[in-house]
Amino acid sequence: MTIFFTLLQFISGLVFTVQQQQEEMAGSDIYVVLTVTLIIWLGLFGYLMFLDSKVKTLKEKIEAE
Amino acid sequence: MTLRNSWWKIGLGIWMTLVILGAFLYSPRARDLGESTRILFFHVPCAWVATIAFFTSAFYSIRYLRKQDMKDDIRSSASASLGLIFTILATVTGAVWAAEIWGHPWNWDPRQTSIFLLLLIYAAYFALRSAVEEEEKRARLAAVYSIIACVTVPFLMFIVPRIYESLHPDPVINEQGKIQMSSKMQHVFWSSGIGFVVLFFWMFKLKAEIYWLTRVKETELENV
Repeated sequence: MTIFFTLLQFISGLVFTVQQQQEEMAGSDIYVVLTVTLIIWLGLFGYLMFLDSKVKTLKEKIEAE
Repeated sequence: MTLRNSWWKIGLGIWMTLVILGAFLYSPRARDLGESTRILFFHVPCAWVATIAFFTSAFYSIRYLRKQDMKDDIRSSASASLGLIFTILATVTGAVWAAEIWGHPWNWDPRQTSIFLLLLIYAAYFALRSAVEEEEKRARLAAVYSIIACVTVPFLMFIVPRIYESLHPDPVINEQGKIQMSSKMQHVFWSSGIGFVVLFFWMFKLKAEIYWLTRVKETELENV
């Protein structure tokens, strides 16, 4: 729970910073690049987590055999 | 997957997300480089991780030659393949940066030429592996090749680009031994470096396990 609230605090702080910076960098394409980079990373991370759990299950199955 | 075992993976996910946000929102732009400064936080760690991967591959090759354990051959191969992937990523991000700053993605600059040679050397490693069918012979030959290939890594990554005149900016730790970056840039840069190294070792562990499981299954099928 503590981690969750710390994360929530961080995200709200980040939203505030983004809003502040948006005013300074209005019209910049940097947010598009940031969004694409984040999507790629989160996609890769999700895939690695999925693969990790699959490999673990398979390893346990083979060891049990 | 228990939370106890995967806390560091979730931590890495959050860490790298923060690095990406920091690279675009926290770090200032470098003088003369504009927004393309952001590539630095991904390009340099990719090259570093590639170097670590090639050394890891050589380490397991030496271990294979000493102990003749097939697990070491698998680890060596997994590490070399990741090294090749990170070298390609460093080359592509470098080319994107070059297109922005030098006006052309490929200039046969000493840095670009040396990384291209490194790509060829490690592509040949996989050509060698696929050319030999007998498992033990393949492992032995690949181990020797990996050790020899690793010797070229410091020359191609660190020495050659420092000997010849290059368009490439000074390395992070330059001749004067100083890091010419603002403190905010350094925060993001080193965080990215740490994140990439942890990411590499996670990918390496996964890849080696997948290669090993594939081998176990193939051996089982052959024995049926």
